[in-house]
Amino acid sequence: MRKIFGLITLFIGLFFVYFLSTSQNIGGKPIPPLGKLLNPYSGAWQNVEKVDRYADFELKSEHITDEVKIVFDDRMVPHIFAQNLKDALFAQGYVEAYHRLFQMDLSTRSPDGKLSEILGPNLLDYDKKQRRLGLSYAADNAVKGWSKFPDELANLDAYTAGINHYITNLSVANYPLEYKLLDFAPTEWTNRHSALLLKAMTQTLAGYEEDIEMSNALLMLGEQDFNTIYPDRNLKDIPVTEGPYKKRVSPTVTELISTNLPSISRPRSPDGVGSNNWAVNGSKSATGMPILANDPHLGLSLPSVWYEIAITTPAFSAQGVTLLGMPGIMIGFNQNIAWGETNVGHDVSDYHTIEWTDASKTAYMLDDQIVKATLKIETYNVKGERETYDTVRYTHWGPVVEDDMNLALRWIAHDEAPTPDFMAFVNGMQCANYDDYLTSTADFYAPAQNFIYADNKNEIGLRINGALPIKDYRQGVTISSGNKTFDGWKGIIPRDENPQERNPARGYVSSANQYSAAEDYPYYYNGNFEPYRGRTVHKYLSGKDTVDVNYMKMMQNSTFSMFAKEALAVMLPLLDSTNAIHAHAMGLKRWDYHYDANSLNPVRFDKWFAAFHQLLWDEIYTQQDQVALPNPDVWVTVNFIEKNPYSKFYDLKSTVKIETLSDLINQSFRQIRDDTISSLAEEKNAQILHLTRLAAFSKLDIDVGGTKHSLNAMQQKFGPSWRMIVALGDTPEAYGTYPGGQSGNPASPFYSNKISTWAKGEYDRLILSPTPQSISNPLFTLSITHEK
Amino acid sequence: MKNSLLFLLLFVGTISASLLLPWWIIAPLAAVLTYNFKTAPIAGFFVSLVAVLLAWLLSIYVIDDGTVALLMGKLFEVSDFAAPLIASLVGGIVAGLFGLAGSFFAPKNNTAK
Repeated sequence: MRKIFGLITLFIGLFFVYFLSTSQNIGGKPIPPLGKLLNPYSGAWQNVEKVDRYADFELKSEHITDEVKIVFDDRMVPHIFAQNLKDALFAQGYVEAYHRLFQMDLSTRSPDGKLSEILGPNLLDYDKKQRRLGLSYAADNAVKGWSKFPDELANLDAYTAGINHYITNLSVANYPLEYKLLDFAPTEWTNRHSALLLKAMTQTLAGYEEDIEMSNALLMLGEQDFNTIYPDRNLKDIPVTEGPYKKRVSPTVTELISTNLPSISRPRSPDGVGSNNWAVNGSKSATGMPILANDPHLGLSLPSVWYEIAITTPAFSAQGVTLLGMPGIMIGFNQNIAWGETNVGHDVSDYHTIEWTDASKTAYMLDDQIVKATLKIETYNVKGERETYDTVRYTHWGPVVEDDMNLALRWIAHDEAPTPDFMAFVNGMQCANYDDYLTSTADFYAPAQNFIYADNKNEIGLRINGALPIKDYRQGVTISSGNKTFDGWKGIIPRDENPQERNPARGYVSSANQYSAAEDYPYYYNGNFEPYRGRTVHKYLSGKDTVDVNYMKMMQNSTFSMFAKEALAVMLPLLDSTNAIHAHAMGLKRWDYHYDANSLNPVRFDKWFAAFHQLLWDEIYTQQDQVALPNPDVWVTVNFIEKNPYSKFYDLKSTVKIETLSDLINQSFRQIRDDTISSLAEEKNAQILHLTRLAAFSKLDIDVGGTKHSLNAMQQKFGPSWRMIVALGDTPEAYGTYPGGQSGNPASPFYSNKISTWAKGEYDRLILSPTPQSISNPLFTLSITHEK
Repeated sequence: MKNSLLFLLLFVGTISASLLLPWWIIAPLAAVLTYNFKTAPIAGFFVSLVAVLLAWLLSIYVIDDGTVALLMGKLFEVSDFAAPLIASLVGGIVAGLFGLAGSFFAPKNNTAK
């Protein structure tokens, strides 16, 4: 009898051990392996980091040739001291993995379509979309291209070896917390992972296209109204480079294609991703030497997007931020120069129609010939489920993203870069003058960026680095024909002809995702451009004779909205007498157009404008449940009402009455008049979520102002991810701040410690330290020595 | 007396064995010890449960400075005080079940209390 009880108990016990050692899904709720996660000896408790326990340690590796010292300063920023570049990059790879391994893993799984492997079936759809967009194919192409440059590749190999040194020596107890929670193990890093990361960045920054929606709009509106509501250019904008350029004569005009198609639900770049950068030269700066500022606006996350790092070899000493998984410093400075980037909104993603020869969709017509499509079978190993498969058809143009649409995607991300493009940030950080910097960054392929530069020889400059396609006039505004190879891009603009400026007479260079060049630029381009921040930078810089670091701090934190100012200049005077004396209107009349955290006026304005915008373009918004149409831009609305006191668009289709502009403005005001208005911070509910979106590891309710059109472009989840200001001179005086912390470990005191500084608009001083001894109050030192 | 020794061995054994072996080492440990000690089932269950629970709790107390307790508390929506207790209970229950099984399998010992 006892034996039977014993057996029963034993089985229950074994079941418990199994249950507690494996991930479970109970009623759709994922349950981590509780035994693994919660035991004190290899579970979450091992991830604690006590400040007083940091201690120096040593490593040996066959991959380095000389001794490397890495000193972690009191902000946990690693300062790498190496005798040569490859050793330094090995160390960079090591420290990035040391602090951010899970983040690096997850952010390469997203483009690779492998999130469902660790997060389960809910992510399968997302994975499929990513693979159908051809991101893993793009990474394979990148690696293929890189293999042609063995000398440069040796640098990436060193970096990869550093990451793997960390991974291979990692014990289960020391796995980052998220691995324990999601119950998987880190795998070897390869150069392909870095390629995936570059592709993910290209997706975020150069994934924009609205081809299908635009084609639908063209069919519905006709060409004249289409051009009114979706114009190519905002003529009020001040482009990044002012030329003058030599205009090309009579370019070929593309025929736009009208369609009536459902929209593709694609993972696309979110609204509000963008950045600011500017640099003044000595004639405009308080120090007599250039000052450069840069702040990229991205989806904010924990661990933070960026990782601060300093690298010193006998040849150079540089500091700044790096994108985890890519060697070099992306935005930073060295003894002599400072650099940074903002995104370029050119449309580098075009859909082409495919004419299949039959229903099997295995061959299609191109240049009147039958061409076979390449079928790629994608395999998904979904966590807790069987393998599933998906077939993606590849054509001359690229992958057919959705089979029933018969549209193939031509996207710059798929190209095999003709250059070792990953070297741009490795070479860039070592430069001492602008010519070197131009050469170093010329290889950068995608996503195209406004690379800004300043140095202590009083040079400033800005050039777009990246591949910009040569297009016919209006090519890529809608879907393009795919019948002829001639329907595609006509090559890539030669790098020397990319928009650029060097030491312009106005004394500064700047960019904020606006148009790259005025209409005289010899190549046609279209895309997604920011209408207000660029002009706001000009307003601040041209309006002041001498600027200093504090002025630039003020600029970066400015919540002034030129959009609100221009819109209200038309809207407020048109309010009728009842509306004009309402508290919302009175508040807005006194408003200084700043999106301050505790102000009600930004919320009043945003709600009112949104209601008005919907009424004005009722032609579009009332049709969107029938057909996929692009949202008209807000700048189109503002420019339109400034210029047109009367227009057929003011009439509401749903009423018999013929409405006027003033009717729409008053009607939209009445719609929001009784709304309870809370402060901007409450309305915005800014938050920085952990990559897994787990609230326990996230920071919620952050009290910040800002809007996507102000220089402090803080929205709910997007915003300034790294604010840097560098005053150049004999030694650079640099400042930086970002919403996160150096460590990716949610249990580390350096996980989210910088958020409050950043939210307050304050900065840390960034001190370039030429020797390990010059770093004050280091937390600990890591020494790496050569091992045979 | 025997139960106290069992407790002590389990407590020390849990901490030392877990440093090298997977977390579930507590299961065979509890079963083997209660089997060899010929512990009565009720005692086998409770002594194993309490010994491992306390071993884990003490270990957590030594290892953590409260940060992980706070995180785990948020994650499982319990207080940061409860989190280490719940974690230790996980170990305790597993050990208790195997302690019980071990004592069931052991030949009856008339001298056992």
